[in-house]
This record gives sequence, structure tokens and C-alpha cells, in this order.
Amino acid sequence: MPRRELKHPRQVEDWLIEFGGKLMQPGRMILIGSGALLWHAFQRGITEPLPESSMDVDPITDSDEVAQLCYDALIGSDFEVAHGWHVNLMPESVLREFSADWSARAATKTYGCLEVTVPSPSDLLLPKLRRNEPRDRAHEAWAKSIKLLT
Amino acid sequence: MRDAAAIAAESTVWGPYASYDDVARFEYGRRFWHLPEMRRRLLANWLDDRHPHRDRFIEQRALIEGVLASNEAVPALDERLRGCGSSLRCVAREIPVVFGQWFGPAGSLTDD
Repeated sequence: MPRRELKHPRQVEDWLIEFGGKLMQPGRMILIGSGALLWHAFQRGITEPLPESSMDVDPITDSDEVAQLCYDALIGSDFEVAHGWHVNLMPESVLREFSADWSARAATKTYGCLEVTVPSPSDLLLPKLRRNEPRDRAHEAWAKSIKLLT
Repeated sequence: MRDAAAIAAESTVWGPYASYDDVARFEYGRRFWHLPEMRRRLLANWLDDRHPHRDRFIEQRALIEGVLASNEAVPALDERLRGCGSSLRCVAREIPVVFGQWFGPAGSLTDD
């Protein structure tokens, strides 16, 4: 079973800092899913943990080097053993689950050679609420409680 | 990144209930196939005796490797595969998962 220990906003930020430090060339990443919600929380100084935790982060990339580093952190990897969660590289086509203009509301941040783009919390929750599993509703409630949603 | 129009053009290939795991193995597999070291590591992983889909991969290795080595746009690749009685959705499903437990840079290759 995959481990499910991704719950603190700091964990995503720490991972991106380490990730950006490893890149030798400029690379881009779009971050979606629960990991992206945690990213927003960290940027706002929020430390409230994610309810029911998450087992992975969900990045999208068009960079060979970024993709290779993500594959080194797949389910079952030494990365998962060390961190308690893994990286689940997603295809670009998953972005069709978002509003067409999601990028207009996205945030960006640079970590070394890594440029990270993160859809807004409202946009991130759209596909989760469409799935509407109990964890998705819990994550929405968490986002509301820490005022991520405007 | 590709624009929304390009992604939309591929949506008919993957269908209304796309498996993003399948699509990811295809997209990133094709990207990695052109990097010799990553290609070596993927093959080592899939051909490892511990891999539960090793035999299935060997049976369809030529077809899967042909798709991973292709540079065609997704709709064109799908059309070509349909001409052979298959489809990109089917072949993408056959690309084996990668087991992180033995995907290290030092993984050995047991080639058949």
C-alpha cells in the first residue's frame, strides 16, 4: 500500500526547494491536486495539516530533467520510503479538467532553476469536487476553513 | 506546454473516460525513450523477473517500443495503429508500470 503522510504545507515547499536545487537546466512544472493546495497554504503562512492526508503530489512538466527527477520519486521508490509520500507525474491532458482560463488565476514561484505554476485554490478544487469523494469534500472544507477560497 | 487546442485535439483519441495513468505512461514514456539512459532504466524495470507484467511486455515488446519511439502527433499515431487493428488507447494501456523499488540508476538489464 502506498504511504499517505503528506499533510503539512511545509512538506511541499521543502520538496520544491530541494527539487529546484537539483536541476541543472531551467525547467517548468505545473502543480495540481492536494499538493498544490498545501503549496498555497504554505505561501500564506498556514500550518494547519491537510485532513486525511495525501499519498502523493501531482506535477505536470514538459522538461526532460524535471520528469526524470519525478520518476526517481515514484511509488515504491527510496523517496517514498524517506518522505512517506511519492510523486505521481501527470499528463498535460489532465488540464482539460480545469477551466479554460485557469492560468489567468495561477500563481508562480521560482526555486532555483525550477519555475512552478500552481492553479488557484478554486481551480484546483473543481476536478476534486467533480469526483466528490469524502476526501475531496474534506479537502474543500479544509481550504474553506483556512480561507484559501475567495 | 502544449496549448488547449492541441490537448483538445487529442481528447477524441483518449475518449471521454481517459485513464490519466495510461496517458502519463505514454507521454512520459515517449519522452524518456529518446534519452538512452532512461530507456535503459525503463527496459531494465519492465524486464526484471520481479515485474508482474514482464511476460506480457515481452509478447508485445515490438509494438510498445514502436509507439514509444514514435514522433507522430497523437491523432496521427492513433490513426496508424487503428489501421493495424489496434489503437493508441490500447497500446498505452499495455505500457508497463514502473516499480520505484527497482528503478534506480544502477538497475541491471536482463535482455531477452
